[in-house]
Amino acid sequence: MTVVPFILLVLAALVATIGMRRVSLWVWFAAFAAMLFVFGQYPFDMLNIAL
Amino acid sequence: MASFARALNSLALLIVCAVLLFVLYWEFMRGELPGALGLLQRAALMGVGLGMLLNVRFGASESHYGVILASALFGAWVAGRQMLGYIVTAGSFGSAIFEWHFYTWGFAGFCVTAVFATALLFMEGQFFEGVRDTRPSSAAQAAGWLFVLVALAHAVSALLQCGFESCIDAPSGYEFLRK
Repeated sequence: MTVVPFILLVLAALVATIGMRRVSLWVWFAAFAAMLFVFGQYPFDMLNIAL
Repeated sequence: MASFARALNSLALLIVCAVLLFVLYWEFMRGELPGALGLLQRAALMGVGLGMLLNVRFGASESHYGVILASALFGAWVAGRQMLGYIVTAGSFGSAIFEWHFYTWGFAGFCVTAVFATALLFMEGQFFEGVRDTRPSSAAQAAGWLFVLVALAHAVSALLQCGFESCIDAPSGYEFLRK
């Protein structure tokens, strides 16, 4: 699952380089959503002690 | 003004590529694999580079700076989470470079990037031309392909390390190659 944002970001960079700006922005949105999802899977309990 | 902003974005894109290449060097030559949160910080840095690439390739746009800022803030959030985690456990992860670990450098770097992008947003003259889908200069095209190749190398590295599963916090090797 962690690899999904990487694949999407490569795709976004590739389509930007060949001239598809809007598609690149949409693919970046998907990559960003995937990053947030992956980050949300990690525990934050430990930080409740610190904060 | 537009050419000055584009030059700054080009320079910043090259710095992002250099940092991404450096962490790859550290991973393969020093044998230090990134943890799960480290990989997310790499992805955030790739997002920062993508925003700069869009500015270089198509001209400045608020949405391109939005990509840079959102990615930088997310990267700082992840790096801050990792720093706080190690403060709580009084531990650390990986090597220190000039007495700072990678996640501490990451937090500082993402904060500087956010300030950089915010400062560039105040250069309003760069937005007058608008975005253009004309053939870019050969330098912009070369910077774009360099970024694509570096991003691809990171994607392959992440795939070898984690496969299609969620990555573990302290990896000991490339899980995908063991299967």
